[in-house]
Amino acid sequence: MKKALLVLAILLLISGFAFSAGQQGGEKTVVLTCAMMAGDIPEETQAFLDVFASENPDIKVDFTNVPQDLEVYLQPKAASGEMPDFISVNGGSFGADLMDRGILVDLKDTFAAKNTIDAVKPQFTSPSGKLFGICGGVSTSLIYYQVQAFKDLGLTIPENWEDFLALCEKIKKAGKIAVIITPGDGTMSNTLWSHGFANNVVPKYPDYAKRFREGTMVLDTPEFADVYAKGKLLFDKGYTQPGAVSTQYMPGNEMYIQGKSVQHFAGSWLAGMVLKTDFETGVYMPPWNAKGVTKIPIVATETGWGVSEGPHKAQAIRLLDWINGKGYHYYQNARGNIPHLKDPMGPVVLDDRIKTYLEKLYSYKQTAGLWFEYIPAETMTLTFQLYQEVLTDQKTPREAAAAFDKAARDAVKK
Amino acid sequence: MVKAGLSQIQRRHLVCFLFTLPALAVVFVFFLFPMLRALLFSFTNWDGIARTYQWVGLKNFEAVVADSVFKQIVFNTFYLAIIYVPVLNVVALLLAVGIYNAGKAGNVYRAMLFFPNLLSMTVIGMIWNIIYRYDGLLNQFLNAIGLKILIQDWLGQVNTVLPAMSVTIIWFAVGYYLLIYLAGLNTVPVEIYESAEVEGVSSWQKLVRITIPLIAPSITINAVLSTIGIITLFDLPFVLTRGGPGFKSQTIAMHVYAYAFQQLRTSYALALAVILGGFAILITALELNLLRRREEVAR
Repeated sequence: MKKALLVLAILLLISGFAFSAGQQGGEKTVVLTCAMMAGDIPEETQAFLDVFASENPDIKVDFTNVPQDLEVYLQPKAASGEMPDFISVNGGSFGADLMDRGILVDLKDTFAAKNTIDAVKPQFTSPSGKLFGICGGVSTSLIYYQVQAFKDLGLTIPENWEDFLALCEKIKKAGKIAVIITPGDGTMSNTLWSHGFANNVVPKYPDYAKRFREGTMVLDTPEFADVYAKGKLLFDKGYTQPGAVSTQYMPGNEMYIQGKSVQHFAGSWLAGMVLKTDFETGVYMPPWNAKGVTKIPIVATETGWGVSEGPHKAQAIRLLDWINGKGYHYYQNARGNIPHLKDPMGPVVLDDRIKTYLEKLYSYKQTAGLWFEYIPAETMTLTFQLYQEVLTDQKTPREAAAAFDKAARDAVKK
Repeated sequence: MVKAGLSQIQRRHLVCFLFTLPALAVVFVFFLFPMLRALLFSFTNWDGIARTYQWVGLKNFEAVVADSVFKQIVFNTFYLAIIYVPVLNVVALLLAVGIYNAGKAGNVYRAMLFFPNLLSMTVIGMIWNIIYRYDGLLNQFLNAIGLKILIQDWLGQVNTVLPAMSVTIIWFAVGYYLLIYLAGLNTVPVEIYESAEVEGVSSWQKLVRITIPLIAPSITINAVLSTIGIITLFDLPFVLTRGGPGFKSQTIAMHVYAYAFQQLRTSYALALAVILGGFAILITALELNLLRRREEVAR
């Protein structure tokens, strides 16, 4: 009996030591929860996070691929105090709000921030001046077109809205679809809405982002109504694809890739997919400007990264600095997007057509952001819902403008 | 102490109560407690993130009802309910009667009709999106049979979106309700049909005079379940139309989501959820009352 008790005591002692040693070992390795929006490059993201983990043996990365509705994913996490250590974040009001509530870390002193070009920082800066995120790239939206179809129909690149309408008319007369739009979901806000806003509203209100924040933006105007009227005109004239109202993002992209339309109005982030079509594709700047007026193109940010306040913020900042430093090429090469870094610190994959487009884009003195960077989070779905209402004659463009104006003001009052 | 003071019946009740405690705890923790919290927060200005909030009385309810889309979402929800509940139940009942009399082939039909229930609503939404798209299967079929005139943007038009969505929901749900009707039909004594046949009663009369009165409890269950299902419908319209065009197919449940996660107005979402819950309880109570009376008459 005594022997048995002695053996038991020794076993307990050994297991106690083993547990204690395990705990001490565990303390050295930090599990970094990492929620990133990587629907288009999930395997690549896991792969470069593995590279980071192998270079940082004290960190184990627990990666979750976040769905498209990023804010929907993050809000309950923020509410329950369970924010992942490292997150994807969009520029605009939602991230700024998290920052000012003390949920995110101010990143302005990080290496990532110092290596990021200044032009893409305001979108990730909260009203209190704190940098809540580092963007994942520079983005714009543009018109992709079939080069051969342009040659066959004797078309030239349009320089203004009137030219664009004339060009669409010629394409329509040739029995082809002039341009694809995608009002079936929010993605049309990146194209028709944002370019309309940039060319119609920004000249009058160059401080539009500040005005949106303060609730002093005036949108119940003919200029803003014209943002909706332009889309309506394209639709009514039959320049867009049949069934345009319900066309969503991916089906719209597929239609262009299958050669069903001569032009596609879409984001630069699609370049990797759209420029690899069987037919030659060119790009040009959307001419949403009036004749004789300089265009205001879009220079905006892509979804980026933020760090949550918490016990692992030092490790999360290390990952942030790595992705925006020597690990950047893993991310960029997978996406083929436009770099936002002063020094990409590695090879960059970028199509020559996009490079040429960028050179032209950067020559413009005045540019504007994409919709989600400046409108209140509360009004985001309204952009395309109102567009749908205008296209289906439920509202006039002027009524849509008034409705958006009211929603934007109500958001600030809240 | 307790044992000594309790009678045998009381002790038995106590044991029964103790056995139900785990189930009650689950109901309380996962259903009642969140419901009560939601009810409480619907009277506050809680924004979904902050740890603090203030009591605002009925302000959230006033704001929700005054919202320009409130009438539209209530209309859409009840429009779907009015089409869905009777059509679904009539179709499911007729199919059940047909399958019940189909012998062994009935099992094949039953499996086929139940198959959509094995898929998630999200998958159903994606499948029907491909069917309804302008270049989708439905329009291709219409083109193939020479009915080009009917080709249209089914989900992008104000007049077609809700009927199109109703067809999808009925296609999805009919198998489930059919099974409940089949279970009801199995309880009807065969002798009644046999003597009706001897009396020369027609098939239609058998259905109306014998089958329907005798499976009245199944009708009650199906009517109530389908009403609750359609009033709280969220996932299918969300995937199929995102509530569009505009708000023409937005349901109340979708708008709860929109308030909470798209507009970041959690207190409005909770107020609308309370209103939705109220609607569901009221309509279900009315329906139950009516159908129970019919059951009594049938007996």
